[in-house]
Amino acid sequence: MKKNDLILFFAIVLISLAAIFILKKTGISESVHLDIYTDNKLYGSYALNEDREIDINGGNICVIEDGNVYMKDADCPDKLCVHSKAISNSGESIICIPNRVTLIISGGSEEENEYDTVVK
Amino acid sequence: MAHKVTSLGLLAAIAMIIGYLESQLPFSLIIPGMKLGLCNLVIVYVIYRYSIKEALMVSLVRILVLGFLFGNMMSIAFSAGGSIVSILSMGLLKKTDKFSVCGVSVFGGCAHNIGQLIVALAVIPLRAVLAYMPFLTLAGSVTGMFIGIISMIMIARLDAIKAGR
Repeated sequence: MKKNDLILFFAIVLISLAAIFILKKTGISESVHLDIYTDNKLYGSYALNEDREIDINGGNICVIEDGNVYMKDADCPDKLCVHSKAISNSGESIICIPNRVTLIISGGSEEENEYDTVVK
Repeated sequence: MAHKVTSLGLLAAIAMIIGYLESQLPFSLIIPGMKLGLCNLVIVYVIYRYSIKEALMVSLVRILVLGFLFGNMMSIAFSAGGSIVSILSMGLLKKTDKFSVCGVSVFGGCAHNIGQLIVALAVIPLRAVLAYMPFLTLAGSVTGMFIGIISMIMIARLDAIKAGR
């Protein structure tokens, strides 16, 4: 083994680690956000890293807290959406059928989603 | 000529068997898409004892046979993309004569993953590919080092066997 080999190896490892660090810092790889749809139309998109309460057309109140999203209140009779578990991962959703409101988390790196297929 | 054809055929067969054995190891649990790349042992050997051209041929045979037997078009595209980029960059690095088997293999491991990500661009957005790149180059360099060390020992031993014939 030559000295150059080790230099190359550690250079690649360091560059990779630096790139991973930068990606984590800038959050380029973490673009997970909450999309709210009413009547199948996009009502708004919200970042998950900022805690806030969103009033959706006066009928539903949705809360973003510590990266989790849940429905705080709804004026529908069954309150299924309010009882739904909080969501935080890409692809998860909470749906209020009577008010036709959909909360869905989307974006993020593909690896976090369910696999469609795996090729080796 | 006949000796070379049989040797390369045998090496291609070994590469396929090693590839199959590797697919039975649950190694990719650490990072999705990561693997040891044991077939690279054969490819590195062919690059060192034959040339880039033979390495490309052995690799192509392996990919097509395995692809048609067990894979699909997508897996052939991924393997071919990775292998071609990897073999060409290993050949170039070997030509500079500044690195030993280990360095060449480390570079090849990374290049293989980069080649696969280039193919992945066809189905995954660029941003996701870039976010995944450093993880795979990291994995590629570590497994490449591993493969390089084994290759170094293997080439020396095979040469000793050949010399004793």
